[in-house]
Amino acid sequence: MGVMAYIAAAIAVGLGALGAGIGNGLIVSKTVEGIARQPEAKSTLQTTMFIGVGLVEALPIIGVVLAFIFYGAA
Amino acid sequence: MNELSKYLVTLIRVVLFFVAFCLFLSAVLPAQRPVMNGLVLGSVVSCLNVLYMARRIRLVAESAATAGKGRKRAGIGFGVRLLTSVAAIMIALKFPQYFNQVAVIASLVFAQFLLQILGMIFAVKEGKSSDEQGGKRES
Repeated sequence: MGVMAYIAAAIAVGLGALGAGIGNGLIVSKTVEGIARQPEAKSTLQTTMFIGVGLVEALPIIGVVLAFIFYGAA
Repeated sequence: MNELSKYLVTLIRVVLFFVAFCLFLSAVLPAQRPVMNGLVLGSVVSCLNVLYMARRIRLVAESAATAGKGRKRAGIGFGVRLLTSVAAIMIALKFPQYFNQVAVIASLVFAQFLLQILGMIFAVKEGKSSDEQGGKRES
């Protein structure tokens, strides 16, 4: 179980963070673009961004937690 | 009130209700106390994460609206939020007699999922109110 558990932990953290990074980057870039084009829509856009970032960030948090469990089991 | 503040107020209210309910169950059922403590720890950390995220998003939006005249913002503080979650897990691993690890893990994304549900509820409400306004205008 030893080495495989470490590999599983690394994959869970790494891929989770990679996906979240790409997702967050897309959300933030589109929102900033929208606010720069239409500053009067700032309130709506930042609320949409808030919900989107919350959805994206749930996954890496679960990934990190799973990685800790794998690390503990190793 | 700002639209984001409306979400935050509702979110904090629901999380505080949840924490109060868990503390009540912790008092009523002493055998389940580690599970309830774990739920309280996880949901409080998750709520703090969401509040920090809201603050950073406000700053990023402000920076975008002022077109770079203010202080430049590079990120939305994802690392800090991740490490806060790791700290909660570490507390649960360090003190297993007080905190159930599975309960902490399960409630670490409580506020984030609650945010999705609130988004759906507010979207339905806004849709209904705009439909009513459209109907009044037509009549």
